[in-house]
Amino acid sequence: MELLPFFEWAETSFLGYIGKNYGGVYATFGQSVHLMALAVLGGSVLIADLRLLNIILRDVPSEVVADQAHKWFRIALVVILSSGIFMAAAVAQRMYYNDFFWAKMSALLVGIIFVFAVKRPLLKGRHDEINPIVIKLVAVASILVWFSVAATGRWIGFSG
Amino acid sequence: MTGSKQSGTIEKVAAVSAGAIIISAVVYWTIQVVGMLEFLEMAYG
Repeated sequence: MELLPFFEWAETSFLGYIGKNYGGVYATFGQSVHLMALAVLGGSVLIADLRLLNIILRDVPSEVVADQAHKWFRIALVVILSSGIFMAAAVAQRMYYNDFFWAKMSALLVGIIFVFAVKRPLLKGRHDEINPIVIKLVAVASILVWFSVAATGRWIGFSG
Repeated sequence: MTGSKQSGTIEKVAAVSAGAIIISAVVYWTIQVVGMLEFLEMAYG
């Protein structure tokens, strides 16, 4: 499927026009909100996963930490996707030819599927009934996939 | 499917997918870092 026409359309859309022509709107509603949401998402991922690895908050049940962190994760993800679409629309054609943009989108897709199809169903019940090695594998994979989303995202800004 | 069978399946899926993600991430970032080091060596010697 050829995606270039979609990216060309995105750049000429209302969102693309606003982002391209109003630098203040792009910087505040786009970049700043996106980075703050990324901080919340990264924080929620690290708190939950470091607890699953028994590194932090060992006096709080991991079920409680994972549930609370997931609530903030979902909020941050919605904000990240909204602000990210706005930001990408302004430079859509540049993004289309950027390898790190596609690496970030791939990592993001894997991360979302992993969280909602694997991690949450696994961690919904009591954690002491789950094989501790599986819990630790899931925590390390989660940290790595969201690190990849953040790192490739920042790399976009320093490439091309 | 019983509850324990279902949770066993979820654990297996979680272990396999987590393992795949860890291996992919390590391979991807190793390639990126090696590429960056080669680039720096070419640029600065």
